[in-house]
Amino acid sequence: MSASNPALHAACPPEQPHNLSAILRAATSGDAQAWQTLVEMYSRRVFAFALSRMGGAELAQEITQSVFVTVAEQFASTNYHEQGKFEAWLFRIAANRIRDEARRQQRQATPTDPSKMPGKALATPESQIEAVSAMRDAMQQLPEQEQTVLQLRYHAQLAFAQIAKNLDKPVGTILAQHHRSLRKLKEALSQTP
Amino acid sequence: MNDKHTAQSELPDDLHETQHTLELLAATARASMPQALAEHLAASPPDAHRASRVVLGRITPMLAIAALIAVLATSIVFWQPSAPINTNAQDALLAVMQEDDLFVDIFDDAFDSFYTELVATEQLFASWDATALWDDSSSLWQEVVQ
Repeated sequence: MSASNPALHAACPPEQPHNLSAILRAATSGDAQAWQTLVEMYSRRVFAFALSRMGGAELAQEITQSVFVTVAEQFASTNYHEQGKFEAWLFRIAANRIRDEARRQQRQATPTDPSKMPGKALATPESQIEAVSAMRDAMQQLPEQEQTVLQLRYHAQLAFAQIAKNLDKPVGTILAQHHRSLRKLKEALSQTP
Repeated sequence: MNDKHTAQSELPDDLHETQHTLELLAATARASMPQALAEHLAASPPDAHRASRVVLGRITPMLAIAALIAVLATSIVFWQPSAPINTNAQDALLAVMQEDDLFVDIFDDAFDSFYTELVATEQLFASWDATALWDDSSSLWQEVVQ
């Protein structure tokens, strides 16, 4: 596994821009440029989170769109007041949408082949595609709570403190679950032929 | 709390490769979002929603007023009273007088009939000798006494 893959550099929670509050204030006051910046910063993270939970690209697109429409409506209605909790709020909206959609459709999440995913293809070597596919299968075997922690951490790129806040659990519990989940995944992958 | 540092420092070395694979899976998912969706989302700033609400907020009262005027105009044009209404005091007085004339005619007829009967009765009594009824010798009295 190459750690020099550029995709990996963006995997951990990205540094929040120092002017995030200013961007949010501008977006709430109708600044189109600020809104575009927010979309660029967060739309792929919301999409990846939805994709990991629902397993279908079209559904993930619908959910992503729905989440940003809700954000836009809240901005426009002046119900949103920036208090430094935008990411936690955004992904709580996403989690609620995903839960509602899952209940409505009663769908079972199905693994998505990364080679068949729409949009920009990631330049991933064949060996890594296999590893990614195996990882997706292994994740499906984890308990729901552990899947959620990993998806919020890696797909949504949330900090552990934000994950704890979103799931209403102590940070220590989230860290322990994260560690335990990685251990389970390692064992599952080692058994993969 | 340095989130990244905490996570890395608590992870044993043997889990780093698993973590990297997981990160690659997530990065693949993020990269798979269609660019068209990003462009669509970016082209729908919150101001558009606000603008539509402002426009609606301005149009709605105007539409309500226009609808009210239309309803009133329609009512005026198509309104036909079901019964004549006395629009002035003269008409009202005339109606009462007409009704009074009718009442007087009816009363006059009735009074004439009553008066005629009264006169006839008086004439009858005047011509009747009541003492004859109670004469001791009358057969009727005799019957009562007995």
